[in-house]
Amino acid sequence: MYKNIVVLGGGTAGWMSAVYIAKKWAHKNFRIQVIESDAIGTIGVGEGTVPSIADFFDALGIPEHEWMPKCNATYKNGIRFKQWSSVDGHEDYFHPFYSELDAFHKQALLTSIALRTQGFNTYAHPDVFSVVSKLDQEDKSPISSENYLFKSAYAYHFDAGLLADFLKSKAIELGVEHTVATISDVKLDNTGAIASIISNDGTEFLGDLFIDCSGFKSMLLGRALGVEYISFNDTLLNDAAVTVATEMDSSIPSATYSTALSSGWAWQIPLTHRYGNGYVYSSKYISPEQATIELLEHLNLPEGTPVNHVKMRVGRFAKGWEKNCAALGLAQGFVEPLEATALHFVTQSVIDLVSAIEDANYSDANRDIYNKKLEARFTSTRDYIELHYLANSRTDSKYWHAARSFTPNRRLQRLINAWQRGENIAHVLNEEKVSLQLFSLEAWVYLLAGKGFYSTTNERTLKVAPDNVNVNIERIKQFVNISATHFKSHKLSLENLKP
Amino acid sequence: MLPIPENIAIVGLNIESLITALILRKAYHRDFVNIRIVNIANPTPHSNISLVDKQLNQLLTHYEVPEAQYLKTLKAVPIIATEFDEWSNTEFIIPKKHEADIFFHPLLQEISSLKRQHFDLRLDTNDFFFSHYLSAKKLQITSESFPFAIENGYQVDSNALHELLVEIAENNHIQIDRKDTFDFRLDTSGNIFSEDFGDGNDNEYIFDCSGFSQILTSKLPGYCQKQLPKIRQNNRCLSATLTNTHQDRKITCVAMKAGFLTICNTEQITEIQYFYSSQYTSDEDAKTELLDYIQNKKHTNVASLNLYSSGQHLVAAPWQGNCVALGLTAGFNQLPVVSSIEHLMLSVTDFVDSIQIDANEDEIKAAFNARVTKRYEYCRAFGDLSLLLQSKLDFPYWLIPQDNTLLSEVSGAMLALWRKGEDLNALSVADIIGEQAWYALFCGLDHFPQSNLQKHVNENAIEKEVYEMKRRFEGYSNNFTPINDSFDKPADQKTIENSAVSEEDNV
Ligand SMILES: Cc1cc2nc3c(=O)[nH]c(=O)nc-3n(C[C@H](O)[C@H](O)[C@H](O)COP(=O)(O)OP(=O)(O)OC[C@H]3O[C@@H](n4cnc5c(N)ncnc54)[C@H](O)[C@@H]3O)c2cc1C
Repeated sequence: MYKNIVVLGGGTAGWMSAVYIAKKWAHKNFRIQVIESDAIGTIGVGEGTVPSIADFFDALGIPEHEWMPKCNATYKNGIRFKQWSSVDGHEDYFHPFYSELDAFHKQALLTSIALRTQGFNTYAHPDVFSVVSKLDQEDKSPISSENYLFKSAYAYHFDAGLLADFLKSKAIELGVEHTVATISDVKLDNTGAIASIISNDGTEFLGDLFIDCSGFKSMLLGRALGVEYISFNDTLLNDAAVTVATEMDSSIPSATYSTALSSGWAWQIPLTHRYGNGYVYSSKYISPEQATIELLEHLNLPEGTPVNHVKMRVGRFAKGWEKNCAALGLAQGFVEPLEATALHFVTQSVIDLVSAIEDANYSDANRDIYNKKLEARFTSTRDYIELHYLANSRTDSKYWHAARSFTPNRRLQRLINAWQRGENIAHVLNEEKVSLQLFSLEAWVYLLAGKGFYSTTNERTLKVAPDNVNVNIERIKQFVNISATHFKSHKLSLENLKP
Repeated sequence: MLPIPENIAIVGLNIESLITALILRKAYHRDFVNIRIVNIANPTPHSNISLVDKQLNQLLTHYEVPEAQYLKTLKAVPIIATEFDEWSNTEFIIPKKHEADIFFHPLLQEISSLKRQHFDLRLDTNDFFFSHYLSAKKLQITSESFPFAIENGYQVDSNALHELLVEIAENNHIQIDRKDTFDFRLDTSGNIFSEDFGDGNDNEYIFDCSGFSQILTSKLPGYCQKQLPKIRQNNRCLSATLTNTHQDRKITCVAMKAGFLTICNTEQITEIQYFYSSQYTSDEDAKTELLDYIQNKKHTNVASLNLYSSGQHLVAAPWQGNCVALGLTAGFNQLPVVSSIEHLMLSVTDFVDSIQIDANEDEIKAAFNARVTKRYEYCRAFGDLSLLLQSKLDFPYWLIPQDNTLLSEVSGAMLALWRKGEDLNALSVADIIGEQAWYALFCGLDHFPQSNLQKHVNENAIEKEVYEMKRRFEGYSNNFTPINDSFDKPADQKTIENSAVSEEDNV
């Protein structure tokens, strides 16, 4: 029975896991320890999220007004992709998170875009259908007036270091033990499971369940248990990033911006007091020095501004839970940060892990089910991110040619074929059993339509749309404009965060 | 394929024929298609108030009649719901669809489904419809800051509408022949020809808008009525017209001793029709009952009182040969959830669509007939189930058990879905009575198991969701400004002056 739980690592993943487990098993009298090294730092990036993070805070019973100000957090309506496409009119597009207001015109969006894929001249850019996209354009928060309450699934941006500190204090309040030590050895028992981990001063930490949150190194799952690593670098080229903070503008954007550069893309994440910026690139196509120059230029920063460099390992372990060890965070795997999904993997994995263990009476009986679910999550996320690259139409560098030149897997190939032939991609997603939990049907459509990935891009050759098409674009625009008036400025919403 | 029309004749000069002519004129250019309306002596009683939906606004807008002007001329009062009074323990409404309702429909579905599975949960159906809030709080139906729309209808003055339509027709190359006699003949293949129409070539279509008299339709060789179950059939209609009335944006249906009232009103008049069965009350008693009702409700002057025979009917095949029965000629349902004009407009549009279909003539007509009659059957089913499932215990008319086994295909299927706890969307004909209306009806009539009820584990969570929904609707309603005070509430009482009552008995 898992009673003695050891979490290795005090990055975001380590503290998120520890606090969640401590909350869920508060009355079980279990021992939960977090061990982190003061010699090995945390990765220090990871400031954008997806909406599932809100459920995580809800499960912990921590309201926004308590944690957001402490973590310089802001609201996130979605991601705007800039310069990923060279198709006229599609230079940028918005990937909004779910909102009832956008769902209201889902059919109009799907109809209009389906007709466009069939060569009819209909509205082909998804932004026009989306209130949430409008909120981004007007720097508004996803919080509406009391007179206009519609459900929406928004996310947050935050300072990763501050969040780890916040969660750490919460975890300690809940009885989690915190030890600073650098682990240098792992002892296995005769079944091959982990018996204990040993620090470089010889202290031995015994446990029944080990949660490996040691970052890219994956000290326990990868190194000690030797679980196979599956690299994604055959399809996803980026392997490094250079980061720098910049000053906040007078108005705070409510979305992440992802701008394609010569050999990768740059993020801009607004926090209350600064922007986090970073350029994710492929070291095969650009050197760290050149990448730095390009990022600073992109941000209008002077040459020589201090930056940080990060290396990334893109791929996953074949199993996220082996023997008595489950890895969470970077130690479990990482699909590059384009859709800011890494912390979603942490929260969903720890939620799944806790319930898998509970359902099996605190044993490992549900391990295979857990691993299958994790694999499916990786598969759909990787597919979605690969499609971003496959559908890019930049012609300005070798990198962008290479980024779309890999052979798509069967699912993506079918999807692309169906899309380009004007067929219904919902069928393909359904038949290929692609999980729509994180990326809904609309999300796939936003991506393809947003980038203008149509087989005919010459507007003059498009056919006149049939007149029974039930899409009243003027009314939709009016709906979007009026709806947006009900939302507060992002800055004001943040200032008003109170109990 | 059917021949493209060249000559179109419409029999009967009334609101229905004029609307038919205008829809056809919109579809067919005057240089290629002649459209004429032939007046006939027509005993069909006509209501002083017509119930129309937004489609008519669109049609008139096409003819460049601005909406505001049209509503003013016709003394129009919007319809945002049909209210059922006295049918069950509580009043309930069948709302006109409001786009904002869509977010709460799943909750209504869920709760109603659980209640059908013997769970004891509270359900005030009206709370799920935004029209109800607009009505209860006496708010305008549109707001510049709330972009969700209501598919409301209008109650309009029939005479004013008739005049307006004649004027538009005359300005748009629709010929109106005002004569009292009218001769026609049938050829061997069942097509109608008349010297009054023109030369009788193949490209001639004739629309029968003669109302209950069915002047042409009833003479056609294949004419027959579709037999539908008879549930609490009413054979009389006593109609009162009142002046100086209050304005209500709901049509009201009130269960009475031996039938039901339907009440509608324009800015100037109220029309109350009592559909009843002479088996359960006498004409004299019905009249007393109606006048008592009027007095109790503090309505005002009765300007006229007329008695007609009234039944429901449906022509089995409205389109035969070159003749298409429309509106009241094709079918009539007493319960006004869908008005006769709405039926008519949909049928004429179906006709125009049919002409473009590339198929064999008989198939096209059969498909048209199936579609049109199905709509009437849906509406009839709606009425039949209201009359069947009500929970009145006071009068024989309501108590006599009805033979459930005789339910129509549609009523039977709807009731079966409901009782099995399933969703009702499977059978809805989207363009006529939406799914939401069926939920409103079954829930409003409280047609749920009443015994062996159990508590549901999620009761609190469900109540919380309902509370949240109400909070959201309350918020939405803050976007709307109040209406003029004269709406939705009775005017000061004035005594009924019987002097104005006249009787016209066509029974
Ligand atoms: C360029 C980039 C951008 C990203 N952007 C996003 C984003 O926008 N959104 C998002 O959700 N995620 C993002 N991520 C991922 C995100 O940063 C991580 O998922 C998150 O920070 C969790 O990291 P971690 O806790 O797993 O690892 P780390 O932060 O690396 O923490 C590892 C911990 O393990 C401890 N440790 C390691 N070895 C030992 C040892 N031997 N003994 C003791 N302790 C040890 C360290 O001290 C440290 O505390 C991004 C990642 C990269 C690389």
